[in-house]
Amino acid sequence: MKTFSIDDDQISNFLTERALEEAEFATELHAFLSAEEALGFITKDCETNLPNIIFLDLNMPIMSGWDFLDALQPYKENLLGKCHIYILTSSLDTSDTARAREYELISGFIHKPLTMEDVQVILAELEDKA
Amino acid sequence: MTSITERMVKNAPDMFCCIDKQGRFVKVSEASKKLLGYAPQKLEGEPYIGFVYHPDRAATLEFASLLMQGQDLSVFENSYICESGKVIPLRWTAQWSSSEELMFCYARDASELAKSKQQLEESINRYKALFENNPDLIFLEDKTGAITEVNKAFCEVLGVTRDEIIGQQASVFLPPEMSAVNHLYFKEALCGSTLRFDISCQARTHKQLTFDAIKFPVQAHGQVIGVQTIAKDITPIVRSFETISRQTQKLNTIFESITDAFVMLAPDWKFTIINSTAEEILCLNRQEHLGQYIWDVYPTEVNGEFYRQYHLAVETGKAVHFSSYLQAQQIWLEVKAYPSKEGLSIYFDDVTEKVVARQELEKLSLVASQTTNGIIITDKNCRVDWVNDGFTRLTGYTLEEVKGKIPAAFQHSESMDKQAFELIKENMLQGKPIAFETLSSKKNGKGVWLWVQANPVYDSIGNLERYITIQTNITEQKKTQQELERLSMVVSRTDNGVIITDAAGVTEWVNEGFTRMTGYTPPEMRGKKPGDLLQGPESDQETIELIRQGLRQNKHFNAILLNYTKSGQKMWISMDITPIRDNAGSIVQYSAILRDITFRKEAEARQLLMTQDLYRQNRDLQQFTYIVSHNLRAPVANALGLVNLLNKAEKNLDTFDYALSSLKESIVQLDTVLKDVNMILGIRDKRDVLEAEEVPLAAIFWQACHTMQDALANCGGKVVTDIDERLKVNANRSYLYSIFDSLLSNAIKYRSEERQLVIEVNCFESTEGFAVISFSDNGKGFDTAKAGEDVFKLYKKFHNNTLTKGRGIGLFLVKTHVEVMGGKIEVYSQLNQGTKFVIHIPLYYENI
Repeated sequence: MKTFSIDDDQISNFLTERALEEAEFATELHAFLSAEEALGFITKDCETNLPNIIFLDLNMPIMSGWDFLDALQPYKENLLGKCHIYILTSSLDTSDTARAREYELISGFIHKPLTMEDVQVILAELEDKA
Repeated sequence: MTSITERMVKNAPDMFCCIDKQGRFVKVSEASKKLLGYAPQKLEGEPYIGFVYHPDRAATLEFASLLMQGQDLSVFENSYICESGKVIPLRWTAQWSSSEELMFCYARDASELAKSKQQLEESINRYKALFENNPDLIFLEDKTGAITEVNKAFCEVLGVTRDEIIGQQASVFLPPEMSAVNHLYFKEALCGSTLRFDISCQARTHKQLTFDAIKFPVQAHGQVIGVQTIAKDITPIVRSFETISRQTQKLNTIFESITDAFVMLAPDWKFTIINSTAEEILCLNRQEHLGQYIWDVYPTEVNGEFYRQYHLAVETGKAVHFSSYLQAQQIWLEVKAYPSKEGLSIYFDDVTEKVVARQELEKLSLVASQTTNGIIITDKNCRVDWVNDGFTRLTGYTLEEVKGKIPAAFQHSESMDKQAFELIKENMLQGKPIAFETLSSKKNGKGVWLWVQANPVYDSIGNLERYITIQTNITEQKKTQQELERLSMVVSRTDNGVIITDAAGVTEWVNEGFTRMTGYTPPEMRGKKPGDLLQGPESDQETIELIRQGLRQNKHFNAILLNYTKSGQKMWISMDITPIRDNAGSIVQYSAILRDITFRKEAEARQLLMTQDLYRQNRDLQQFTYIVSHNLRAPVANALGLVNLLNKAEKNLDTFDYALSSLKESIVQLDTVLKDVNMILGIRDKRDVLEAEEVPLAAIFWQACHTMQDALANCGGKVVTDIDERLKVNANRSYLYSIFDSLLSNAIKYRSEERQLVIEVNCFESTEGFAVISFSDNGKGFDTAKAGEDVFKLYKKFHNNTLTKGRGIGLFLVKTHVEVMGGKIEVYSQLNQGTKFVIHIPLYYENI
């Protein structure tokens, strides 16, 4: 399993890592401080080297989470079913949750901080889908 | 003596001889030789008769016998045969001497004499024949007037014999008046004149004859001895002349008796006859126009109706009958033209009056039958004689229904004013023309407003004969009028201003409401264009132009414009302008309804302010939502996560330490955001109460620059300036400082590593009363298209460089500060090229 955490906030990435550890989620975690970096990673090898899970922050400079999702649209067919993207944001803004529903690629919307319980739910979902 | 006598006898050319009783020559003179060729000896003793030319012998013997009997016969002529055999005439003078019984004869050659005598005789005969056989009547009068000679023609013609007339006076065959004439000319002829005159008298056949007479004197030896008259019978000439005259006269009488005008045209189109009626009608003059070419007299008619008809008649040989208008005379002619070999006989009559009357009648009858007005003809007792279809249409009553009735009796409406009706009746009975409006009843009982005009008609001797009444339906007008009255009452009472202009936009009328609204009275407005008085300096030119366009498009339109009252007070006017058209659709007027919407405008302005305020507040609120959901929530979320972690983590682990320091960081971050929010709210609150002051722009910039001096020196940057030192802005000193501080710090923070930082600052004065600050750097820049409106938003960051630690508040504050001071800010940037800010701050004016 491979997991990406995309967040410009280092503390947030740190907490995500801890939560995964706590849930004993055996995964290879890559943290990206910018969405552009992560996008380059994914588009470079979208056939074989895809992460199973992406935790995506929304509020980032230069390329926001939304921008990232838009940039992934051309690869949507490759990603669906293989790469599950979860929005992980501190935003409580309902407009953000509403907007998230418009994206097929988004598997879930999680408010920060990510907890062990959240990870367990995700794992359960993944197992269901598998 | 004897010898002398003998010699005389001997030498005389004439022959002397004496003859005895027996007729023998006794003695013959020598002249015989010359005369007869015989010597006297040959003749003497011989009987003379033997020498006489045979045809004369009897007469000669007779003469001699008579002579010897003693008759006194002096002269005798006969012819002798000469010795040569030639016959010569001799003229004898002889005498018988009984005593001597000898005949003494004397003979002369009468050849010449005979010749001339013959000639004379011939001439007389000729004259006689001429005289006698002349067909003219010839008579001669002697000096006393007695007729001495007349010719055969005279006797035959006048039925008299020569004997009856010779010696008589001319008066016997001449009637007394002619006799007097003859006598007068006779006297003159006696005086030597030749005269010519006409004379008439009765012939044997009792026919009256006329003669062309010439009277001339007959002279003999220089003396007038009588007068000859030759009278030529010119009766037939006179008769035929008379006949011609009479016929002409008769013809003229016929032409003149034709009551129609008559002209006759020769085949060459020349007038040959123009009768007096024609002269009168056509204003022609016989003397002048007879013989003239008709188309010269009427050049304008060439190829006209007359021309065509006449030519048609001549070409077809058939009579034509037509009526046409003669332009030259301005009359209508009814014409009948009959062609013949002699030309064209044209009878015509001036029918102008008839034509005009007919046209008039046609028009009248057309009007009477077609008019929508009702026409009633009543007798003098006001009883209906005739009504037209218009009346039936108007009232529903047919002619049959109303004939013999009095119109007032069945058209009378209950609502009619009794008094007025009586007055009308009275006037009508007095035979005065009347006109009145009345509400009358139709057959179906419905009311109809009528305009009634009744005119009396009098006969030739002035008696009232009948009335002609015209009824016009004025119900619509009445309604319109009532409508108009109501409307004008409304219009004049309404609080709205109403202007009526003509098609050119010049005021014709304004209502009271307009005067109340604007202060301008109708006389002040009349003749002026409303805009010239009402518009003022702050009236929007674009709207005025729209109004002009609206007027040109000829449709109803509305416009809202700031106008001015007479006293100069501003007022917002909403005007509804409508073109008023006539029946043909042309615009004749415009109406404008004006409403004072100043109050509404003010409310609108207040509302706009409130909306703007609300919008700003809303925008602020949205920003706070954002701040709360992201910037405030983020450290809180982190703190929550960290606290959760700290509870579980063992205290000696690195994780614990990291979490702890992170927790602190998060809380600091939370505190910073709270401080920022507080500060921003602080600035916002001051927006309406900010005390702006005179601030020297350059000084503030240098102050900020000085603070950044170290940072600039560290990165090796430089500042290039072009600042108008005199510029004074109306601003808040610390805000201005903060603006420059933020911009300088941003420029340093986001400088390009690839080149030396150069900051350019230009300050100048704009025409709109602003100081313009242009602040540009050659740093990293950003994509303006991508960043868009986010550039100046709170907590928006465009750089990932964690070293710079920008938290996305700098530009938000710059914008907030600029706007609070009444200015504005724009940004232009290109990635890796640099960024340029243009800031406008209001200038400071002494009088503010």
